[in-house]
Amino acid sequence: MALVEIRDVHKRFGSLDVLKGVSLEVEAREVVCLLGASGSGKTTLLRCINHLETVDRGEIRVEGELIGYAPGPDGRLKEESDAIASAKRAKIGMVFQRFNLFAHLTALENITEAPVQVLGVSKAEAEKRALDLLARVGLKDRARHYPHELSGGQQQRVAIARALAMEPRLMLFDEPTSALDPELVGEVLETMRRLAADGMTMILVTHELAFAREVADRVIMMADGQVVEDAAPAEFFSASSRWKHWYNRNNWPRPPG
Amino acid sequence: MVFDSKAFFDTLFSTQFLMPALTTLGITLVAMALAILLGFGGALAALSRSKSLRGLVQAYLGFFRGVPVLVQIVFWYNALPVLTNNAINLPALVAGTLALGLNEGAYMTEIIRSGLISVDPGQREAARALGMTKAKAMRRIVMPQALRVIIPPTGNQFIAMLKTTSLLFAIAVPEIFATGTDIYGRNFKYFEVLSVVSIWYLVLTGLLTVIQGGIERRFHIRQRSAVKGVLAVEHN
Repeated sequence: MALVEIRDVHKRFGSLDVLKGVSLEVEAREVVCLLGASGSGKTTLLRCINHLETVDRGEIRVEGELIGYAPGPDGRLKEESDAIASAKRAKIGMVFQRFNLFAHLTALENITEAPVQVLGVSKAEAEKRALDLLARVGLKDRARHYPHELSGGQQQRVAIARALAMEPRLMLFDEPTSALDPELVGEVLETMRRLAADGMTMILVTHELAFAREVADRVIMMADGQVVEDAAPAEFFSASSRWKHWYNRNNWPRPPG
Repeated sequence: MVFDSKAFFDTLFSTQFLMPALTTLGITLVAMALAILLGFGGALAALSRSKSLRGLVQAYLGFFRGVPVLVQIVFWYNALPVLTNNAINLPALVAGTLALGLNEGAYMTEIIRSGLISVDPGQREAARALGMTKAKAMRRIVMPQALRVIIPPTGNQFIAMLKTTSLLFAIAVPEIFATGTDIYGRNFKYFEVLSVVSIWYLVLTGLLTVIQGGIERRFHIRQRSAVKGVLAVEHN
């Protein structure tokens, strides 16, 4: 059984069809990169996986479990209560384009907040683990700093540590380097590279093609709310592949290399 | 004009204003507590998905901000008993405090609402992504940041409320100003008595200002870094 099973997911915002029947499976320990023009639905798909967005049709399972929905007495899916959906969501880590570190809390408090408040871990235990995680992302000496005292790259590494503190079975990254100055991208990619090497299951929306080529097990291209390519990086980026066609069609800047 | 300094000092140092001062302070605290509770409820309702809740808040704001507070005060005290055939006949102190609190609740709704919407939606989203329920995300992540925006204007409202309690003289609540009117009604020393009344208000508003400063320091509101923090979140 795949860790993530996405079946025929539809999503519409007002009159705009954002997802038009997306199906996709992600195995445990797999790293999957989602590429596509803005508006292609890749970020919406990511947000549907942890139920930050509702799904209009189709279903998403993580480890066989529906996220945010349960079958009602008539067999149709109904939205779950906030408490149950939140508990399930807690096991899926998410990293945002704009970091979204809690502005009123230090780096350490950002990481301990959810384990203490959601999982009921003791404060001492949570701090110990938070310091380990900060060390893992190379920021042990920044524990007492507030987000505004950190660079964008440091903030994003703290945000990754914050997500890891919940011991997620899956990590979602929504353009984690797009808001960073170019010279800060490398440190965040390095953190993600090591996370992938440790066997974390990752789905990431990115424009870092070099990273996708190097780290991803699969590269998926989305266009118009549908999956249009799904291949191993070697195949995806091969000379005969159509990936450049999508780039030309969407007028994207050429990736390096 | 002759300033009767003896009348002034006798009034200033008499104990006649002690109870009225406590009454004024008490009305202020209770009315503001009611207003803040209404404000939280109103702000959450105004930001809720429910159309009928939002409509209810709009009606509340429209009515209480649109009718002069003095009219509301007299309504609660004099008109309500007539309207209800004396089923509801509130004592002046209760009617007055209720009127002030309900009226102020409309302003607190707007202050708290603006505090809540000043917090980047990404903060709530990150809290939700970490598994916090809506209530927990509000309490632990959004509200502490919103308070930085909510507290300074609330301090102002407290001080304004303290002064507005003087309107309750219209329904004979024994607060500071009503006590003053009683005294100058007897001795006609308008200037001396009103000077003393002003001094009492200045002392009480001064007290509230000091408390406000203490609370703002506790929440680091005057710190430059806190302001920068908000900006950093906005622009990074």
